Amino acid sequence: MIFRWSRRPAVALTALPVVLLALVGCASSEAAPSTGGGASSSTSAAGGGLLPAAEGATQYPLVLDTWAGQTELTERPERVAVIGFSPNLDALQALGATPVYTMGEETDWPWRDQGWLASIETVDTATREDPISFEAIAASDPDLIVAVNYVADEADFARLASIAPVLENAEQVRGDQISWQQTQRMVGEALDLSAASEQVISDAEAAVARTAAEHPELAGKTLTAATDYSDTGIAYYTVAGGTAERVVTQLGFAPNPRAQAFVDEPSVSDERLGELDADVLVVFYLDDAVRRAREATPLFQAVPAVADGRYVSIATGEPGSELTWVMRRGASALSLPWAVDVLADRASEVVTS
Amino acid sequence: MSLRHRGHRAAGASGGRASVVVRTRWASGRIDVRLGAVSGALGVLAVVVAVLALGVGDYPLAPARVLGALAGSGTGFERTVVVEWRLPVALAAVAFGALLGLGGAVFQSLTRNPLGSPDVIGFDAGAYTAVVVTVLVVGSTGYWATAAAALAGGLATAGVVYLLAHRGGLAGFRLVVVGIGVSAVLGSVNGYLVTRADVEDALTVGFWGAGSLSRLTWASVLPALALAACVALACAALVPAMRRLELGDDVAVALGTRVGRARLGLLVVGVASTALVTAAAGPIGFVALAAPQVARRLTRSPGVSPLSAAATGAALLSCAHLASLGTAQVFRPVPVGLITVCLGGTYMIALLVRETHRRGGALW
Amino acid sequence: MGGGRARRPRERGGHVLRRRRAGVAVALAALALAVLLSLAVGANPLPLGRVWEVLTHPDGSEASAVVWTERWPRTLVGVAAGAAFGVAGALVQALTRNPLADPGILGVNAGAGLAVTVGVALLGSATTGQYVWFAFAGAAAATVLVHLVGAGGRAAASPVTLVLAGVALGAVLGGVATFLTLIDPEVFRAVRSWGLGSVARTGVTDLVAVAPFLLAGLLVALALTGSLNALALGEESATSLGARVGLTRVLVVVAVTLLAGGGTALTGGLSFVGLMVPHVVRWSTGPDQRWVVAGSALAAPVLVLLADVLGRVVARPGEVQVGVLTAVVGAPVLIALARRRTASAL
Repeated sequence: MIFRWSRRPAVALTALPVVLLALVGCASSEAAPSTGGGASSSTSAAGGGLLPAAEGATQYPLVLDTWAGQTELTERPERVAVIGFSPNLDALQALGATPVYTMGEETDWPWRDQGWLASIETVDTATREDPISFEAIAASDPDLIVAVNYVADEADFARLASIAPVLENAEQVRGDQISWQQTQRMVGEALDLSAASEQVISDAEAAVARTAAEHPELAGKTLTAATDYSDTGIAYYTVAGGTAERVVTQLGFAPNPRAQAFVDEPSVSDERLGELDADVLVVFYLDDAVRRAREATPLFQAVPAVADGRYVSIATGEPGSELTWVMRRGASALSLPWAVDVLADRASEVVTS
Repeated sequence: MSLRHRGHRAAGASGGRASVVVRTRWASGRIDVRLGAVSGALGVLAVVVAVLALGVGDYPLAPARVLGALAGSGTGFERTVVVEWRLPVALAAVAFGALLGLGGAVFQSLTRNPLGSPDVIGFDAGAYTAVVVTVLVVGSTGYWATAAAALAGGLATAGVVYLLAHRGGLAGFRLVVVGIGVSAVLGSVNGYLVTRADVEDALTVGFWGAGSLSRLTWASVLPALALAACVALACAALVPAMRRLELGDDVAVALGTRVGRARLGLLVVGVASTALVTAAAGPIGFVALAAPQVARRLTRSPGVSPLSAAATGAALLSCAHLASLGTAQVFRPVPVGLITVCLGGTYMIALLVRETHRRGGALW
Repeated sequence: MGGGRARRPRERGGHVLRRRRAGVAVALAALALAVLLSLAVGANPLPLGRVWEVLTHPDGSEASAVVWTERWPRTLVGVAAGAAFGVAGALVQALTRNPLADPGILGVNAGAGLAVTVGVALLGSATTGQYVWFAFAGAAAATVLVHLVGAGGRAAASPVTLVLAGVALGAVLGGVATFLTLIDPEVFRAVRSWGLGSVARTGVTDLVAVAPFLLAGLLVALALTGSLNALALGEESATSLGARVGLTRVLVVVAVTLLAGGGTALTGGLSFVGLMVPHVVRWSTGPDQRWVVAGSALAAPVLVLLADVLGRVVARPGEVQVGVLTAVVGAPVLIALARRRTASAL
């Protein structure tokens, strides 16, 4: 009969994309900076001189063999993009090599050289929620992508490889079994800085050994490190055979026999906090409120290490709280000497008092 | 093909509706003019927004270069960005939105209840569970494995809900209650599985679980599009039976419909359309529920129509995709599933408010 | 609807009363058993005799601390939150005459959750005591909003419209909360796992802070049951029976806000409890709201406690949050009920 076009839904429907367009219009024009939302830009180091002089040891073309596929570096890379966790960026900082792209980090690592960080062209802070921002990486025009321990599947690898050669492990490694030395050596070889990498590694290992030697009072003692996730309970970090245990044994600590029980299931029940016991107990807390709540419970107070004062507590944001990350998968030539130093000092305080 | 709604005279205060009679060699019938116009406009909107979305991203490309890359000119890498990276996602937004709308319309018609949508009664939760298990236990993340798992999981859930709700006839209300129960169980199982997963696996599943289009490639979009075309054709073939079923089983039988077979066919079509999307992009909430209802109100028709629901779903998801790209530019990437929930939900609420106000009377 | 009333002829009143009394006795026994189970079962494998020993004679041992400082508080929280959600569900179902109504499904929990998220954003607060006020405000706003949207001008919204409004509102509120957490993951780490629904995180001090509101809500609910019975006969009959329809509605919303807001503040929200328990209760008591509300207050804690005990057992030495398990435990019962012919009778 009468054909009536209802205005209100029509207005709503046409208004919607208009608003959206207004939103994106300003951001997508060619004049806008090439990177994601929170990206900060600085061009101070652009145009050569990003890497130290080549050592001439690496033969190019260099084939990069990874678990997900193969790419080839035809010549020494100049513009390096780094994605993945902090050890990848650490490996470049340790060599004094400046990447052109990196993902923004959530934490100001104590071992991070802020001046060096500021010289990176693109620090892409938009990437955190979406693991890899392929377009932002492509926009930084890299000729090598360092993505060790980070590529999730073959499709992601293929997409990265269409931008530039990709540096990844030859085999997939579990998150708590990563070797920072291997990462450092891979980066060194790709950038023709192998000798410098070996130097960085031996320096770091010597620094760790020096810290251990300075703290004979810790030798042979046991240490438990754990994180209180509040709602989901306490997670046992220093499980037998894990990265965290390796970090503390390098300081001279003995493996904790109780750590064997947490290999398959690293959660500690609120009713059995006694299992945390060791000569030194280190507990990380999400914040001070969580710490106060935990320390108020009788069962926690009854843990021998807590009752005897052999207990170190660190809440997020407090000095040394970055230790948790180094114990999980953040170990590198830069972070490890810092971490064992902090750990030895804090443990020494409670052991000797 | 008849898309004209019967019984509207009794339902609508506005009287009769404009319709045109279509006669072709293989079908004849009336197409409601308003329904056709609204569906067409929404379809055009979906496509226009999808084209706009091609111009948004971190890699700087002026509109002219985007169009150039589409047309085949431009440098090799610009073509890669536009054709290999952005196009499959934009296309998927339109096609997946249409599929979700279609699935929602089929189920809402089948259950004669707007709550009978796949996302409310647990079919996408079932598909999700199957995919989570496939990724965590079997360790496979290929498209065909996840698609097969999603379809199997969706169909199995549909079967379970159908059997549990069937008791001397299938009351729509009982189906919804059983569906909410099953979907609650599956939701818990999913949450548990994800918290128990390794960090790396959980990342994969968690990313997928947010309902995101951003990682789609042609390798998963092409097979999904091919399957989507099959589903759409099957749905078109089943629409007459669907209309007759809406009049009640007795009438449908009297009109010569084989009720059991038609219902089973519609069930498979509805589950398949949802599972296809879930397999490729994860559970994208609220489109299947909202699209048919929004379409019904836009077209002012008394029942749900697959065509207008598909067009609405396509427009909704396409806009959500553009908004998702926009937020990534302005501050952070937001999964498209989150945006469909906010956009679809808000629009749905607005429509409900308008409707309840029209019913008159003071609030409270 | 009405099926239950039709099968309640006057001459069978004695039988119904006996059955209701038996039902209450069974519920009380089940509650006592559930409390004991909740005190006896946990990650620390204490023998039953030892549990009873420290329960009757606290001695400061580890076992005593486990029972008194770990298991008692979560048991009490489970009882309080369970009763709150059960009664809130019964009230909403009676008010809307809608068998699908539930604080979770109608978006009330989502409203409380969003408000808590916003509260953390504004204050950076992280303790339950501070959550409470935001949770109340959010629950109240969502309750009013969903009724405005779904019920509009009419006395009672159609069940489908109301649930549709609730699902939409809950989804949008949840979406906005997630969106906020995306803006600043650091600030919102505290709330991220909040919505899972757990009775383990809340201590006795927080329970004491929330308890007055829950008690007030329960008392209002019990006082309203007569009016709700009248309302069930239809608005006009209710008015002619002397019920003040408008006042009843407002008070029901107040009670639901107190109960669902308090319960959400304590646990982060246990949906499904409020949906399911009143159905089970009605099945044995019939549609009389006095019995439905009282029965829900007794039966819902049983469900929550049993689910929590199950959660401590299935994933040792870890735990599964009770909110995950109330669904797994409750949903099959709901499905079984939906299959009964009288399931939807109110």
